[in-house]
Amino acid sequence: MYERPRRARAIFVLLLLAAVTVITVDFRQRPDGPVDRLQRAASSVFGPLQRAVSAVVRPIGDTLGGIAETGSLRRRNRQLQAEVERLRAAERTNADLLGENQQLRGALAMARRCGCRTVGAQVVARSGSTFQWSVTIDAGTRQGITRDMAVINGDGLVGRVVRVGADYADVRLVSDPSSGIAAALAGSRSPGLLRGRGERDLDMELLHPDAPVRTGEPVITQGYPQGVFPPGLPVGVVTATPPARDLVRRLVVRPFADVDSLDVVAVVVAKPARPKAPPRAAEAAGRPAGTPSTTRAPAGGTP
Amino acid sequence: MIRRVLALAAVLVGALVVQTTVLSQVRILGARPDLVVLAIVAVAMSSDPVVGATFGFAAGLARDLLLDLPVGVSALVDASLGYAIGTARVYMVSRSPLVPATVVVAASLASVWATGAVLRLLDLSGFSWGYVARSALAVAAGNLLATPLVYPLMRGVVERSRAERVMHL
Repeated sequence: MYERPRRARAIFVLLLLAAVTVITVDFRQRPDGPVDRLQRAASSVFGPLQRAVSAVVRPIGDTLGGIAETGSLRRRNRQLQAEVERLRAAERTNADLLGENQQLRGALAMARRCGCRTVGAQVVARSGSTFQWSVTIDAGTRQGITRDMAVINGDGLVGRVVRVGADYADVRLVSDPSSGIAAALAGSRSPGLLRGRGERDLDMELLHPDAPVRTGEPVITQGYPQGVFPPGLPVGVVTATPPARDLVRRLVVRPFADVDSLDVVAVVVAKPARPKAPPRAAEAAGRPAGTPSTTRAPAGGTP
Repeated sequence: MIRRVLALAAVLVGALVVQTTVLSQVRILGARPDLVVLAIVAVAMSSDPVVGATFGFAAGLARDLLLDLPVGVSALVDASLGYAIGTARVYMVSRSPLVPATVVVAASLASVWATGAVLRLLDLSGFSWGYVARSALAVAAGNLLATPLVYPLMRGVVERSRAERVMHL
């Protein structure tokens, strides 16, 4: 059974060469290349599995969390504990549905603000990787989703679609180091490029290093004709304004959306017909404009 | 043979699904288990370098295809991990449970550091080496915590699927 070392080494080298070849093909391919198609196939196989497991583990996780919060329950008698747990589970289900409802309303309000048409979706899986910040949602081409669409929630921009299957799509979050967003300061409209930095806050490189900026200033998406994101979507708030170094000014921006605990999101399937001027800071905090619609509630959740 | 491949595939699919749905949200004292690394250790420790490397390659490729990392990076790292563990296994004569625990910790540290290094090499460095070091420790700690629960199960599935049993050295 034990392979001879030389043969084992040869097979190992072949596998390494195969991996390097795949990396090269992936880097050089166009958006619909062979590796891209393989990725979509993998998503469509794993998507239903992930959705089923998510649906099962969510209430279990909630229940475990509930038990941890109320350690004194252990001291009560078994019957009472069972009754309490049953009631708690029911209450939690209601709270879950209420929370989902609120999140959908938030996303809808956000869509209204930018005048976009959106499709609701539920997060069914998160990247388990250390080096990647992305989620899988339960909406795909069948729901009108295509690559590069913006994804929002009630707080602001969440990320953009990077891969789409029939019923699933992968969303690269704003915090991913490979995400780049054309953005602007809400007050001065000074443009810049936002980059994710993983578990840390976002980094914004200002185009004009001398532009006036203050801590607490909101940052919004910058719209341009062939751009990915609708203009004026709130992204985050400036938390630190270190001085320029080597003529480059980088700000620290904390995203509005809590990308670590996403549940319900909305995908912007149609941007406003005529790009509006980005709203002022006050508008970025909550005045509706335009007539949008969210065409679909997330499939996995509320009836 | 087919039974073996099916068992290995089941271990891999199970690890990937649990990783992306349950464990992606779980952090125990800042530690995050990586079941794919545990699966590679379980498979490589009960077979040889060829099976270890091939399983590692398949696991890494599946991980890359499901995630948004450049495809092939995890395949490269995980194939090397499987080969190294499969080769080193014959030197591990003790049957103490500390052996797999040590291998799991070493493999977790190596996996995160190697992936970080390859991503740096490809100029996809949105993270600092400090982050890589912290993540490596978090994954190693998470995997160490998960080892008593998951490792015997995975190893059991792999061992039972073998047509001919190999004597432990």
